[in-house]
Amino acid sequence: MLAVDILLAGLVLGGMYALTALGLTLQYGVARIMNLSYGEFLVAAALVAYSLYTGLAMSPLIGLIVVVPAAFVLNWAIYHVLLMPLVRRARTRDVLEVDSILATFGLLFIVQGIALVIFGGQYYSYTFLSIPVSVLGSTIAVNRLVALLFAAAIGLAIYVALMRTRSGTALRAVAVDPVAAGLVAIDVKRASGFAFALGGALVAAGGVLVSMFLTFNTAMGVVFTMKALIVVIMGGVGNMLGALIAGLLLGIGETAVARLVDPGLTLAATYALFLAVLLVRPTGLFGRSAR
Amino acid sequence: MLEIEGLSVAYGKHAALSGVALNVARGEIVAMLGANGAGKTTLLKAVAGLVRPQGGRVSLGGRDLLALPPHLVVEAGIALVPEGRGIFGELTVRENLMLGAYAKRARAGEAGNLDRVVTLFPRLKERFRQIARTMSGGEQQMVAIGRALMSAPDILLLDEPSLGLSPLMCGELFAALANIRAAGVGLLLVEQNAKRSLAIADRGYLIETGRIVGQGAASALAVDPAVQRAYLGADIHVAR
Amino acid sequence: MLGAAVLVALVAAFPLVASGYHLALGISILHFAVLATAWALFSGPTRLISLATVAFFGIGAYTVAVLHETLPWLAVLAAAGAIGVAVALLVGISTLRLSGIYFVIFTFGLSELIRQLVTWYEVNVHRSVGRYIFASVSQREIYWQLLALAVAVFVVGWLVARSRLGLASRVIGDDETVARHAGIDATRTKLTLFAVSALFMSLTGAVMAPRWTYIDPNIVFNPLLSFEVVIMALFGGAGVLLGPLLGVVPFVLLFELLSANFPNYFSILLGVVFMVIVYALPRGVAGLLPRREAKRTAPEPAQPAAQAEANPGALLEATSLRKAFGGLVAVDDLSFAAKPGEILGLVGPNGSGKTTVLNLISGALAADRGTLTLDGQPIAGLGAHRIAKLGVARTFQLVRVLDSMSALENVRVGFAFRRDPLWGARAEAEALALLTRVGLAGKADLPATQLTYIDQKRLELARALASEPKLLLLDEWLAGLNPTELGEGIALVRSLRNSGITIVLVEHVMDAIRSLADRCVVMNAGRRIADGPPAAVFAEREVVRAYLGGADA
Repeated sequence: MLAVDILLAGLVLGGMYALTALGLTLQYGVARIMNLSYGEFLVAAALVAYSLYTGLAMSPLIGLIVVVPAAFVLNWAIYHVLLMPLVRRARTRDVLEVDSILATFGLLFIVQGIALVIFGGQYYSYTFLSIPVSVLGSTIAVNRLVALLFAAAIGLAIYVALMRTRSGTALRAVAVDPVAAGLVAIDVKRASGFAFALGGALVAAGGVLVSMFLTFNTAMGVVFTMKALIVVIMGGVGNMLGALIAGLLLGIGETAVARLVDPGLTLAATYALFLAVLLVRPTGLFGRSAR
Repeated sequence: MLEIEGLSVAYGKHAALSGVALNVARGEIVAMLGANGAGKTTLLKAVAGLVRPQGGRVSLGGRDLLALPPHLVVEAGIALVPEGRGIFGELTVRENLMLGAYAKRARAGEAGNLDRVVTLFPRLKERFRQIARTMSGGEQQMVAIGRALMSAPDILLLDEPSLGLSPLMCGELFAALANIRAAGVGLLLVEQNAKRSLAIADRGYLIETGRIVGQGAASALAVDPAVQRAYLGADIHVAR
Repeated sequence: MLGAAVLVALVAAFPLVASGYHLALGISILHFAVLATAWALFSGPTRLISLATVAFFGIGAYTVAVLHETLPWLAVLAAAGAIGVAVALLVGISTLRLSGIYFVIFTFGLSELIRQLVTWYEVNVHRSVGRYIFASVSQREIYWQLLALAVAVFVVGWLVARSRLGLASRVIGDDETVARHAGIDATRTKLTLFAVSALFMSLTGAVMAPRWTYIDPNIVFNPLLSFEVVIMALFGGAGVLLGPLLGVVPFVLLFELLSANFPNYFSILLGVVFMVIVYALPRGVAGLLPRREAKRTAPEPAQPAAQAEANPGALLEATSLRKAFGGLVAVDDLSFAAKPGEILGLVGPNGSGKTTVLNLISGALAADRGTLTLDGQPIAGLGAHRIAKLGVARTFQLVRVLDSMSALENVRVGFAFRRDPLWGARAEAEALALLTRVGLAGKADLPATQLTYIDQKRLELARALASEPKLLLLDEWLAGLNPTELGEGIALVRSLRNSGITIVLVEHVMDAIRSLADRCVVMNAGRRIADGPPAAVFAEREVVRAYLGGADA
């Protein structure tokens, strides 16, 4: 049935969007870094997963164990080496946002450039668990279902950690009010670095999962960044549930437009949705929240 | 004992505090009086590490705290309840209080401290799951003070806690402050409500345009005309 | 001027001696020069980074691809420009009202969006993607057209920089709140500059199109172009007209070098340069050069401020004003009036709502309920810039001076955007006079950031006075002054009232209120609790209790 087709495929795509948006929410909501190079790390993780699979016959699901911690460490280093000078220099959060946009813009090129040198500009894909299965009368590949499951599991784990643990709550506190966070002995700089690294780890996880069923090349990072940004802003900055719902909505909406109208108009539809939401509710669908 | 000597803070070229000296011991309430813009909030922020002083000395029990970042000041034993409360509005009461015990010094006694806070502010017990910004001003103030107490401070700094509170809530608030003093915490209280704060305080300081211009026992200050003049002014002669 | 003409002539003669590779290089430099300068026209003063250059460039090129066989060349160019402007206005109207960072993000994906739309059109309407351009335009002709565009963009840029539009854009870039309160329609200013910038970008794309014999959306909407233009402009310095040019020449040569020798490292180098700009050259190379002193005409003797017409009745009337922020009611059923020529004090303990009232009057905030009239005209709900033009000026609790300008320029802003604006040499003379009046004589050329706190307050007052307001709102202007400065400040405020300005004075400094205010409205918790002459009002029990507190509940 077409509706179920769209819903299912939309949920898978939306699940990926939601997972990556969660990472960007951490980077922007907590660390206040508008990371334009975000999508490049997703593509880089996908390329690494590809190499692990084709070179070492390592299943991408195992590859997660390698890639995610590596991404955490890498992003932690990036925050402390590249972004801390900007944090120290910025007099206000607004200034930091603008500076971080430009700096991560540069980072975008560096990461994309390194990926280009190593992998070149061609398209990559590999087949893994590419078995069709029937769900609710609709056919979907197992790898997509697995990706959705893993995304859901990771997302849930992060969500629980953020909501129930002291450190997670501390991160949310920094997103709500960094000055007050200092007053309860939270080291805001360290928390921001941790949030940035965690965000980077999440987007890498997204990249590995996505690589199972998408064809990708080094130029696709920009589109992923844009979509993640749109989801985060639509959902209300810092609002994790909002990002989740916005991500799913975007995935379903995009799939619907692709199947019902024209696959060439998905970005236009995304932008139209983005603009519509911002014009009606400038603080996003769900406004500021820390849940 | 919190000891401040020669503290100076400037915002750009504007001297907000010049050579301020005062001290607060454990188990006493010290009131800080003065008109708006006199520098009271700047003083508290400087002690808490939110603004960088240009000079002076701030020490707690002999330990130098000047220019420490805010989270280390809390670890040392000073907690600030800022003007406007500074609670995490999007989080629940319970999360706010839990975060109050984030400091390492507060972890061991967390359960005991939470009990004490709930005894002090019984109203909070039923509202653990409520989102903080949906509470009334008075209840938010309780959350803010409770959160600060959860860090097991030696000295508690309060910036205008009665702001926006009804007279009834004010009464509860000040009664709670007396209880906190009884538990051995030292309080430095910046308050608009001069009469009320002097009624509860042991000692007081009067600050005007960034300098201490008077100090003494609270009972003496309560009848000192200089205090009234500082708030309500007096005629000055300006050639017309 | 003569030097510029000679330079242009030399550059124009270049194709007569060069050809092939060198001519192509010349074309490359020229087209980036136009794009980068056009980019800086908008993004320089407003500090809104636009990543949409290639969207407009591509629109221009694609218009040529579609229309070049059906219309004469000039008509095609006109069409390209018109479409570019139309898209810019559309994008601007939707996004320029949002906060700056959303604008940047939107432009980030704009070219991708347009590429998708054009592709869709080609596939579904035109039924084939990709078009051939059989225009018989020689390299030389392209070069000369680009040169004409370059001259045009520099002339336009020069004119804009000297015009009120340019000044308005710089004020917006420094502090949009100040801009609105000075009478600047910020949205319209940004839109105009954005459209002009887009016009040049589209025309450049159109002129360049014949260089490709075959065009498809992927070729022409290449995002790399947007980034290269931003790098060149930022590196050279977007705050100065010739700044982007300083970035264009070395980068075009560098890119040539790279694509010849290290084509794979192009991207990495771009990234590194970006980071260098952010960390080391925030204002570009041009920003490292010393600022040129502006030439000055001799100051005329001080003119007394104009007398406001005497008006019967109230000048400002507030009725049942109410403003709530979420659950907090900041202003509650507040009514008061200010008579023409009087000083009305607005006082009350901390948190009583005084600054909110000022914000409601000046248009920074809109009231939830209630009315506000100025001289009988309702002003509640009007934008700040409209209220400013009606004759309301203010200072701010946290002093707001325009960082990128000198003291004199700050004051000129007040003159330039009021109802009957003053511009040019006369404005300068009046500005100097005003500076002397507030006590800043001799400091006219100092950058506003180098003034002391007190002097910055004086500067803010001068800027407010420049708009010749009927109503002046002072938000704690006398705070933080020592006794001498306080005496001077009080005398100054009194002289302002004596020259006919009505003043609403929010203050905590009671000495000032007692000696200045004719009447006082005392607020507590958003409501009015007293209204009358200061001496009487401060003796009222309820007022004393509001300030000092009661000893009992």
